[in-house]
Formats: sequence, C-alpha cells, structure tokens
Amino acid sequence: MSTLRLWGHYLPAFLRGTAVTLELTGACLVVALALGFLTALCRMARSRLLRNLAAIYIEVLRATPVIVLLFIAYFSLAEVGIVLPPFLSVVVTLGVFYATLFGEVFRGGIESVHRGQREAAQALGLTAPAIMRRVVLPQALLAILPPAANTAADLLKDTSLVVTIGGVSEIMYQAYAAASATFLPMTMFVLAALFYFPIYYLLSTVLRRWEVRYAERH
Amino acid sequence: MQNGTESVVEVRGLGKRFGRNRVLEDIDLDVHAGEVVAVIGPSGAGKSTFLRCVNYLQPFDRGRLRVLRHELQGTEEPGYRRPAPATLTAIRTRVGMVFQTFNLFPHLTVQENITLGPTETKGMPRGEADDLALRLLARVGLQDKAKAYPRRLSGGQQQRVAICRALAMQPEIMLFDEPTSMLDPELVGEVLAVIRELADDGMTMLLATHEMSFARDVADTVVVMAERRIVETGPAREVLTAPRTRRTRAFLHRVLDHAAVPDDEDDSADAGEG
Repeated sequence: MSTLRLWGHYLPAFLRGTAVTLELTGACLVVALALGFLTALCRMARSRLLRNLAAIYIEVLRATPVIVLLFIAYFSLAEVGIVLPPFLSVVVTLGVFYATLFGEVFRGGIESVHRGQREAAQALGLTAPAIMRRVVLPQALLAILPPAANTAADLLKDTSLVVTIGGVSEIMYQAYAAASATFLPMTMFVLAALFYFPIYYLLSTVLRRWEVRYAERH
Repeated sequence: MQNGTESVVEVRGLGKRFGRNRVLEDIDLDVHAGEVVAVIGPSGAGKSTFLRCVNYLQPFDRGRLRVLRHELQGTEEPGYRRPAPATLTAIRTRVGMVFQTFNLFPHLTVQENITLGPTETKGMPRGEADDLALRLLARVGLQDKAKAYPRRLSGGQQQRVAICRALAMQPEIMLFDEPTSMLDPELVGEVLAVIRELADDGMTMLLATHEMSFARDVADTVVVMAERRIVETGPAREVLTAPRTRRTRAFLHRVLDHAAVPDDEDDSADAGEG
C-alpha cells in the first residue's frame, strides 16, 4: 500500500483521536485555568502563609517533569488506594501542573494594571471582587492573552504524554496503535504530527485575532 | 464658615510611616460641613498621603480619624482592629476622591466610568445611572463625550470626567489630590472652574493644591503642611496674606510673587523640600 492509501485507511482513527485530544485538552484547561487563577490570588494574598504556600506549590511542581507527575497520579496514587482512570489522571496531572504556569501568567497580567486603577475603584467604594471583575481583569486580559495562548498550546501538546499509560485513545495513542499494526512508525508518527499542527495553528491564530480585536476596542 | 456646624472630618494625632521614613506626624484637623479646606505646602510635605488617609486608601499608624461618624484608628494604637469592609464601603461611597493622575478606567467609556460606582455599590438601575451621568457631564460641558474612551480626551477633560465620576456617588465630602498639577497650564482653568462651582454649591472639600490664588479665592480655611506636619491653620486670606509662622512665609515666598509676602531673614533656614 502507498503511504497516501495507508493514511486514508487510518484517517477515521486519527480523526477520532483528534476529537479525544481536544476533549482532553479542554478538560485539562478548565482545571488548569481555575486552579491557576486561585494560585495567582494566593500569590498576591495579604496572608503570608497563603503567599508562601502558593510559592512552594509553584516551585515544587515546576521542578518536576510532567511525566513523573503523570506516573504519580496514575500508578503511585493507586498504590495508596486512590485509583484514577487514565483520562482523569491526565486531567489531574496537567491541570495541577499547568495551573502553576497559568497562575504566573495571571499574576503578571493582574500586576501590570496600574495601582491607580485599583485605588480609583476603591475610592468609589467597590468591593474587592467587584474591583477585580470590573476594573482589574478587563485590563489585565490584554497582558494575559498572549502568554496564556502559548501556555494552552503547550498543554495541548503535552496531552500526548498519556500514551505512556495508555487507555485514552487520543492522537498519539492512535498513531502508536497504527505504527504497531503496520510496522511503519515513520509514516504514522509523521501523520500524528500533521494532526497536531492544525489544532495548534487554530488555537494560536484564533486567540491572536481575538487579542488584536480586544486591544483595538480598548 | 464654621458657624457651629458639626465636624464631618475630625483628625487627632494622625501619624504615618513608610518603613523608617516618617511622612505624617501629629496631624490635627477639623473639617465642618460645607467648609472648603485647602492644604498647601511643598511637595513631599505629606499632603497627598494625608488626603488618602481620609478615605483610608492609606492606612495610618498613629492617632484616629472620624469621617462622617465612622471611627478609624491607627494600626499601632492599642486595641486597633482592621476596619470592617462595610465601614470602608460606607465611608468611600460618601467621600468622593479626585486624583492627580485622573485614574479614569481606560477600558470603559466616559459614561461607563461615571456609572460604575452607582450601579456597582448602590444598585442604581442602569437607566437611572445613565441619566445621572449625562446630567453631570452636561454640568461640566462634556455631554458630547459620553461615548468616548478616556484616552481620546485632553487632560482637562479627563479630570472633569473624573470629577463627575466622584460626584455620581452623591458624596458629602470631596477630596481633591492636586487635581491640576498634571495639567498643561492652559487646561488648569477649566478644571478649577468646576471645583469652584462645587464650592459655591456648598460641597465640603479637602483640596491639596499648588494654586495659591485659587486657594485664597475658594477656600475658607488653609492648612499649611511642611515636613510631615501642619505648621499653620487659619482663614484662607489670613494665612496667605499674613502668615504667622516662618515656614509658611518661607513656602509662600517661594511660590508667590516675592513682593506679596513679608520678607524674613531666617526664611532660608526653614526652607527645603520635605
């Protein structure tokens, strides 16, 4: 069979894989963004304890390879009775790891908003959450979007690590299965790379366009 | 103008340090309802910091402060407790503030800048807040700028919008922190005119300023600050034309026409930026 016919044969599997990759990325993003925002708030909290805890969390996780975290989530936790299915293991791992990256992105964005903005809102009597929502975040978003888009793209690519524990049929898993069945790793893994590219491209251009429009409006 | 009216701001022994750097020491002041108090003095004397203490944007360490019957204490006073958020909200919704650097919200239109406070803190309905904003803008001659973003406005226009934003809360006291010192000279007049009109309407004001003639014309009381203390307080005309203390004379000597102030050999001894 020619390469093209082979690719044609495996196309449906790769498309299913793409859907799973997107699903997995989405789930990880939700956790990472929420936890990241929380981390940023802790890093900027008045309480020194919270600030230190957040700093330690960030330092420790950043020093650890993602695959080690994944193995801890999947294999080690099972040993102590917490059995996470593969999909959930990845969501927990990437969610917790990328929260540290998003957290620093959020913090940088929030701190880039001029102090006078917060003070003007305080002087109007706005509560802290209202100041965050109505004044700080809308302005911080401009500084947050570009690095956040990059971080999201990195997260997307890191979902492929799940192939090491198996059980989630995303792009990399499909490629691995196809390569094993055909003994053609070159063909199949290049095909996998081709499938990541449009997602990555879409993610970065859509976000960039959004960012430009947002910048124009403000 | 202190004809027996109650003090709306009462400051006793207020002090503030930043680390080892003292910025305010032993400040005493009473502001009565309807009174216009101008705070003058060299840069770095503590005028801004003092004004920011009044609505607690700046916590202070010593003394106490009573604003519209709300009691605030220095953080180092015995029995100090951090003021409840509700207390701060109560004070800030009744005390308006205008900043040296305007601090308009750049992501909101002029109108949205003005309606944010009332809609967010008083639950004022959108439509009502919009009407209020347009009325206020008309008062300062900017009704046609309602939909514009702040960066499209001149400094003088921005500061007038900032005044509207503060007035939209229907405050009982207004704090002006050197409202014209960032403006080009030709734009100062339009902002002062708005402030003067407010004074004429009987608004209680605390105004840090470098505009001596404006202080003389508009203020009831002038407070002179130098090197983190109040060195003189009195009726505006008296303080500015016949200052009692050497430091006031020294300051006025530098900012005013020299002939207007009695000369004093010792002036230089006390002069110097704080």
